[in-house]
Amino acid sequence: MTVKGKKVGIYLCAKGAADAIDFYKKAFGATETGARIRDPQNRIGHAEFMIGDSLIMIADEHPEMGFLSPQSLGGSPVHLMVHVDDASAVFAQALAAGATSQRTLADQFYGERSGQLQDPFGFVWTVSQHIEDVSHAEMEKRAKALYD
Amino acid sequence: MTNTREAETVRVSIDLAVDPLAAFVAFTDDVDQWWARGPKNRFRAPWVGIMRFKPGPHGRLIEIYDDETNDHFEVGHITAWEPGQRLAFTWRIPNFAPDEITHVEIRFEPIDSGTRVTLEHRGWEALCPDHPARHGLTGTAFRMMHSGWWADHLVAIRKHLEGVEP
Amino acid sequence: MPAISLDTTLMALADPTRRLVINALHQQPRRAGELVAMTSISAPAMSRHLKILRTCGLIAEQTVEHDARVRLYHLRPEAFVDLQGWLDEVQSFWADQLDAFKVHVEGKHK
Repeated sequence: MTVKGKKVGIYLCAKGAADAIDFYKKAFGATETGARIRDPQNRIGHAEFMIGDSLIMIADEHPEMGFLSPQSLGGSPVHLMVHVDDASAVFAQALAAGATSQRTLADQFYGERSGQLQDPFGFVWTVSQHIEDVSHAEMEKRAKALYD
Repeated sequence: MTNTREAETVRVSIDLAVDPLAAFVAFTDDVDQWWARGPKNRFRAPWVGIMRFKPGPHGRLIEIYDDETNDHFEVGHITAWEPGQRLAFTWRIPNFAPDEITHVEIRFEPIDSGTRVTLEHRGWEALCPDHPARHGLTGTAFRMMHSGWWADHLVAIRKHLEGVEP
Repeated sequence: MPAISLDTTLMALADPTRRLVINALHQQPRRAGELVAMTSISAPAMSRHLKILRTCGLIAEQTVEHDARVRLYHLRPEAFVDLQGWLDEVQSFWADQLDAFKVHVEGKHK
């Protein structure tokens, strides 16, 4: 059946949400849009920021609610992808802000220049830039050459 | 385990791109410009009065409906007026009994990018669990609802400042 | 106006434009327009500085009798009392220190 949804949102759980917001500002030029709601232990219960046109929500860990970060869970199976105009610049900026490279930036056969990094809070990001329109036939040819 | 008082203490913060004095002035002097109108945000019909902080020995936060007839609602009186650092006032809405009172405190703290404004609203435990101001909510649920209300107001201050010529 | 702390006064005076305004109002009460003309600060920026000085209690505004639209700003001398008191304290501390220093230096050269 068709799900009549409107939008899929991203909600991150971080160990140190305030530091994470600072990191995303430095790494990806995030701008904070909401106010930070805090609980009696002064943990961030809710905060919001934008990267480009995308809204991302974030909160501190709340173990009593089972709300745990990748650091507590031993990694995150969900990868985030950020599409940018200048992947080299953004990749370098994210590394300078404290991310670690997992896959160096390279031109991919499907027309993207992309690389993968892990941020200090355990989230994995693919930084990607569109560099070339590749036809279906050309993509098949290149994939064959690459994997056969 | 947190007690009711703690569980219901609202704490919301926002970072503003101006210095603490300018943030304080925006909060107080410009209050009517950023405080949203309407039944959800204002105190009495027709929900479009003029919000005003009146500093002074009898300083108050009021919503004025008619200056000529002195028709107004007093939200509370100012208990701390420290420009650039701290502002505090008592808080009651029309459905509070005369002896029911809560407290709002706002701190202005310099940070690299400007000012961190942290608002705390305390004292809700003085209100009975079925008080109309609670909209049927107590404890964490009440805090979350009321935190969202203040969060919207703080975001409105940021938007207001973005519209002001630097 | 509640008592204003020394911190607030010093924060308000930490800006050169606001000190210019204080100097100008020290001579006589003035309208915002006059202050703009005297300082080459834009009208909106001046308005913001005046708001800050007013909120901090260093200046106050009054309307003039013949025209309710005209707002005249003037200094509130009481706002400077604490500042003066603090400066006096610091001054007396240094006066004592300088006296002691004088005795020390003169003792060495005897």
